[in-house]
Amino acid sequence: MMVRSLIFVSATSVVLLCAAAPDAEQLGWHPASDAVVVTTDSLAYCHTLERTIETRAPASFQNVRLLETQGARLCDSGHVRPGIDRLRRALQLLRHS
Amino acid sequence: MMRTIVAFVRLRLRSAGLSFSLAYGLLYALSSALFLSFLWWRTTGLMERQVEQAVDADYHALAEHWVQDGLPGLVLAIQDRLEQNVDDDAIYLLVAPDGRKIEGNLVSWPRNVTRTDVNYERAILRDGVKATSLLHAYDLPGGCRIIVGRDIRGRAILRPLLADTLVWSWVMVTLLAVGGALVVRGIFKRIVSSIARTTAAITHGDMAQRVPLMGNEVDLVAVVVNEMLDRIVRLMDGVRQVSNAIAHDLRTPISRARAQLEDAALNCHTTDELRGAIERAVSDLDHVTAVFEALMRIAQIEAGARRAAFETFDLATVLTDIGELYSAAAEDAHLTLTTALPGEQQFYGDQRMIQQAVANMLDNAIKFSPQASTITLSCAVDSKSAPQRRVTIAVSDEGIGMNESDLARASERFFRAETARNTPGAGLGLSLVQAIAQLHGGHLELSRRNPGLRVALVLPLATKPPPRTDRNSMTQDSSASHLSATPVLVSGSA
Repeated sequence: MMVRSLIFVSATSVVLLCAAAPDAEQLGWHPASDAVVVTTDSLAYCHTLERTIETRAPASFQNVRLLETQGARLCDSGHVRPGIDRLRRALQLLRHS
Repeated sequence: MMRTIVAFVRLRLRSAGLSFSLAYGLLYALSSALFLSFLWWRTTGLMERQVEQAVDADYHALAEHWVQDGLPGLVLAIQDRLEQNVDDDAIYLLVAPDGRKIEGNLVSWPRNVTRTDVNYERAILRDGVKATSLLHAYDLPGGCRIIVGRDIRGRAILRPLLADTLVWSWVMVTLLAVGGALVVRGIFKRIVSSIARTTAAITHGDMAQRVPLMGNEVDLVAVVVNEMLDRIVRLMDGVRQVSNAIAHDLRTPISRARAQLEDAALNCHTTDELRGAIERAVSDLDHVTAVFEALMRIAQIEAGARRAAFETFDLATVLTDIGELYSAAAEDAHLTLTTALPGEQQFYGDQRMIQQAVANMLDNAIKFSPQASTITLSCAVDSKSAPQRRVTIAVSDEGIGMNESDLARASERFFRAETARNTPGAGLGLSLVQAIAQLHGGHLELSRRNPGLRVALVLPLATKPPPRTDRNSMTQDSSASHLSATPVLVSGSA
């Protein structure tokens, strides 16, 4: 009786923990062929944002210009996503100005 | 080999200590697994719901733009959202009815994203790095379709981290449970061992051993076991004492009777001499029979067998009659018997037993009082309220009295004080009085006077049968006498 209880409780614990553990899909382990490319991480999108800022921001907006310059430099040096982040912040600042 | 291991495990599991500790450990592990699983489920569920709600709210805002400004307005809204997306987690894709991309940051419509009533978790490629996204497709009027989604890479990282943390927490809790189980087993083993050691010692004849008190709940058992052992020791002492007393006190009259008969057989020459010897022998044997009858009567009374004779009677009348009866005997012994009795006192009990008890008390007083002294028979009721009300029947004398140690043992069967060794008697009188007191739910009180002794029978003044809570204690002791198991109150001064 005690052995059966022991087995039952152990099995229940294992099942509960396995159920709680994340599966492969949840962890993001997808086959590479299924992955869809996101275009807003590209150098082209970086240039698009730069042009948008150039169009909208007057030359007197120093902070916006500074962020734009930093973003453009990062994108050109290969750090696309940090560069895009700077440019988005510049656009946000511009909107709130 | 396997069978041997299984047999060993089964044998070990029969240990109550191991079973308790295993049950404790397993319960602890299972409850912690349940708790941690619930925690994980709730946390990840909350994160998922937050993303789903954000996606749904975003879509409804975009749908407003569609309704107000049409396709151009929706395109501008998507562009604006992507430009302002500092969190870098927004995903949009707007396609025409023919599947052509109109706006958004996904390069194409993902495969297998067809239904509009479910959320999809799909892989995305961001700057060459794979990530996970939650996508929801919606149909727009006019045949256009839109995907609104979020990059849930952060959640995907947090989720296994949380799972790992909880699994390790469970492992640690389980290890603690194992440790706790071992401690529980140790405690249980220690408790059982202490009781086992004591009982084993007693089995081997060491009756002085007692279960040690530990200052916890186990003491409840230990105290009961110790009380039980004390009682057993008292009973054994009582049996031993009575056996010794019977052997000692009855040998004399039996030996005397035997000697008389032997002497008669050898030396009597006439019928009268022979008859006289036989009568003396019969008298000695009558004494032996009387002792056994007294013992049986005490046992009977202690067993409560005479309770059927209980009735309500006037105690004052009974005591007055006894007083009158014994005043003659007192006069013969050159003593004065005075009484201090109430006019009337109703009492519920066995009238004959009460008479017997008071007669024994007066017999003793007359036997041990010097000439020209006074014996007092009194009866008084205390001033307490009904259930606790008691009547005290006391006999006081001015005789030789008893010392403290004799007082403590006076009601033991066959006990005779040193000063009374030469007085006729079997040492059963006060034992009988005490048994009668117990039969009525009362007790016997002995106290010293200067000079003399006061013997008091303190009885509850009930008008209905007294509670029989002490019946067990009386019946168990019926075969043996022991002083401390029965209530005899002793006081040193009158």
